[in-house]
Amino acid sequence: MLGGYTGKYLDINLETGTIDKKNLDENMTKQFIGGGGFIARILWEELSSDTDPLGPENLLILMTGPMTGTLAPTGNSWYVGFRSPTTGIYGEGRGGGYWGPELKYAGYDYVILRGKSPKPVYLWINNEEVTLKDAEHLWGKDFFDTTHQLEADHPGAKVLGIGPAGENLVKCASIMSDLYRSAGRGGAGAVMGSKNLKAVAVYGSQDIKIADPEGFKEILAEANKLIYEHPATATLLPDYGTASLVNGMNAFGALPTRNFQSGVFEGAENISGEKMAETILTKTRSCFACNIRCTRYTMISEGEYAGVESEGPEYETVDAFGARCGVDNMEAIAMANMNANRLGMDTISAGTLISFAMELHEKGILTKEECNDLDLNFGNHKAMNTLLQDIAYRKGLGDTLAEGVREAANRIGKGAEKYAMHVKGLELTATEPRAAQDSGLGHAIANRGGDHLRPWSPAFTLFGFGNEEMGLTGTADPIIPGDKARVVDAMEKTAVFTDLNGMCKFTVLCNTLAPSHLAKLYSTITGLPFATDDLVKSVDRTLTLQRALNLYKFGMKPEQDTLPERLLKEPAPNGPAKGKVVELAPMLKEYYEHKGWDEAGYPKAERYDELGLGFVKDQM
Amino acid sequence: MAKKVLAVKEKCVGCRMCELACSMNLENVFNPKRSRVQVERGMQALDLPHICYQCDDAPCAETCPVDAITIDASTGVWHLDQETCIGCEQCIDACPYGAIFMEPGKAYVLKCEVCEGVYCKEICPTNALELQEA
Amino acid sequence: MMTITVKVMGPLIKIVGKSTITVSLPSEATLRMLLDHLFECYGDELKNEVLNEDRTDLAPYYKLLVDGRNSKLMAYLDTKLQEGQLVHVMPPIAGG
Repeated sequence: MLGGYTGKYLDINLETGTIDKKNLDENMTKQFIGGGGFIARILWEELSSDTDPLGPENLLILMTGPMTGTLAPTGNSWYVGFRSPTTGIYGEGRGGGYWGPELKYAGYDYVILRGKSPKPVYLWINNEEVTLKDAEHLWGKDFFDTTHQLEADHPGAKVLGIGPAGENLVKCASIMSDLYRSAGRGGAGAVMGSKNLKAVAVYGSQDIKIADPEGFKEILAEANKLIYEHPATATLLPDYGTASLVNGMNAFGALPTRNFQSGVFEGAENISGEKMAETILTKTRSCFACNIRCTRYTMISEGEYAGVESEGPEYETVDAFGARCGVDNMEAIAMANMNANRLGMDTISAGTLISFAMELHEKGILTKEECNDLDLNFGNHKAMNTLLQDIAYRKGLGDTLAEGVREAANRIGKGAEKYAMHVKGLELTATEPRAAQDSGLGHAIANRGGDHLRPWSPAFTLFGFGNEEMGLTGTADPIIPGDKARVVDAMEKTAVFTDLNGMCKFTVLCNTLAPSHLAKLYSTITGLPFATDDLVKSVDRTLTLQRALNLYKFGMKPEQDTLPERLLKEPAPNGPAKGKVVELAPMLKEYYEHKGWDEAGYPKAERYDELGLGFVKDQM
Repeated sequence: MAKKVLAVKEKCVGCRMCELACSMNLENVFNPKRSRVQVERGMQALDLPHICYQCDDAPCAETCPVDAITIDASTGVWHLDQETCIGCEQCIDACPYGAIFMEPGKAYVLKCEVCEGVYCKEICPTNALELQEA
Repeated sequence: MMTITVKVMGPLIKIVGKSTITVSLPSEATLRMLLDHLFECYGDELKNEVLNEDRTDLAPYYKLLVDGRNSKLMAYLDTKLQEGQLVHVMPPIAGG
């Protein structure tokens, strides 16, 4: 087996309770590396257009990468793969923390969970000993309490699981790990809940071997030096966290505000990373094997929100519960963040849902009675926190919102869809695309729907972090559509590679590590010769297979590569992008060409051959 | 004073890179459970590295029924003889710093003996580990 | 004379003591003149943070925005300012 892998995985049928230990297919390893690559390959093999995302036939795959659990910078990531109940298409999420490495120390690269358990269970993985255990006593408990209980029962174990939102099949339910880390997007928590699986506790004490320890130490020293010398990874992220973006995004008019009505929030400074550092920040921490240290530990000891204690809130959460809901109260945001963690909910989608409901209420589409008797106006942080709970427990309006913003808009009718901010059913993230056109393109083409992380191209177009090896230099103009296809393509080639390996994107987003560093880390860990060209190809292979899954298995049409009407037709009312809409059509056309897809957005047959994906053609 | 690696808990952020560095340096693998330094992570942002303090009067050595823990008089560093150790864990209970660990699947314990290179200290991103010479 | 609003972020807030400053400059003053003015008011500490080591340019990844637009898309440090404009001095913030 290649270095970095354990060489084994678990295949578990929750219906029958069968637990199989299987050997990793080395061929798949070389082609798809791990993370989202493995997930796409397995889903392609096993799922069909008939798969009901919340039915027993859907898979829930808990995945790592070859760098997970190693000393590669930020080698901590775990992933979850599934057909998304929110979007109906490819579902993938990433979490940091400690759980992923622990799974590998237990001796497994990934776990496939299939079927539905007849009663609530949790999975206990203690090295070779793998058992399904009764979870009646945990069902209904929030994720913090669940974790504390399982940590007490299994000392030293790392815990991943769901909260009440996942149990209640809420479409923005996340899978949480290590108390505060979240794989949030696309409803993985609901899939886990549909399987009656509450948690996976892991303890591992086995070795991870790598191919070339001396070569690894050399490239590691070089990589660490770059991380410690780069102002973003050495100073700004540790000092101010991801929420250091709040003031910056606001300056560019790119901070989504009041359900994307604007990109400028007058209360931004009150919810900024700088403000957090002055007020509720207790300590800077880190995930496993991470020397960037962006994690915030926050506590509130007095006032209306006394008792709040959690990691975060992160930038996305600050925008979701802050600017997007018109809330400039940092403590209220921290409360919503903590509760989302406890309930097991994606803060990004939850904030989108609440701000959507706030706008419907202000526009008269929803009455106060229909809003669970809440004064659901922008800025009402108490109502926001109440509605968050109501979504998790499907109470009143919360039950409608729990279906995701696309379906909620369908059910509400009366023109509500105009205010539903999503792509392909997945709620949008915290970049205003009218002020960063590339982000509009990125959201429109992302394989899991409204997703900013493939890649987060504003790192270049707004903040100027280039990528010389990928030809990104100079200064981009974020408010024009020109040249954005090339930018998104170049950035995703580096960023998505981290998603195959188990690293965090923050190693590459600020142009700290280059593709060649990643290739060398991969090569010294696995023992395979690997150059930047191979890296580019591996990313293209994965992204193309994920798109093929969407097109040929999950019923997606390329016409869905679009954005909400508001962003395409309503000119930005203020800020640097005033008067601009997202000019998506020319960017999409350029991107399709760039990727070797036809004009309609289907990858060409020869593209599949070039990438070693010939098997896709049988399904075209 | 003994030669030792000192942990400054106020600086620790809980990344546990020291654990990976230790197991890589001494065992050529990544396995935090085989590390001679282990970080405890708890509520209220507790990140506490446990590493041998090389005590003058070492309770671990005193309690060891087979005298497997002996001092190097020139450095003050306590060495553990894995051949002699019977894995009874009495030293683990005796250590006031929680700095002795069982080797997984083996009948002996692990403790920091201030190795060549002190890779843990080199790799720590926040200088939470300091080398104190004898 | 004209009035320019300057906003700073990250570590600059501590150096300046606040996040927003109002500055009076001669008409047609450039960004370079604005920077010099700020360095006069806030001293070497600000200069060390904002400029590169040999003082020839901004420090790596530092940006100056005029009304939310990167000044590199204009005349960079020679950009002429106008009455009432908003200038951001932005350190290398990141996240996502």
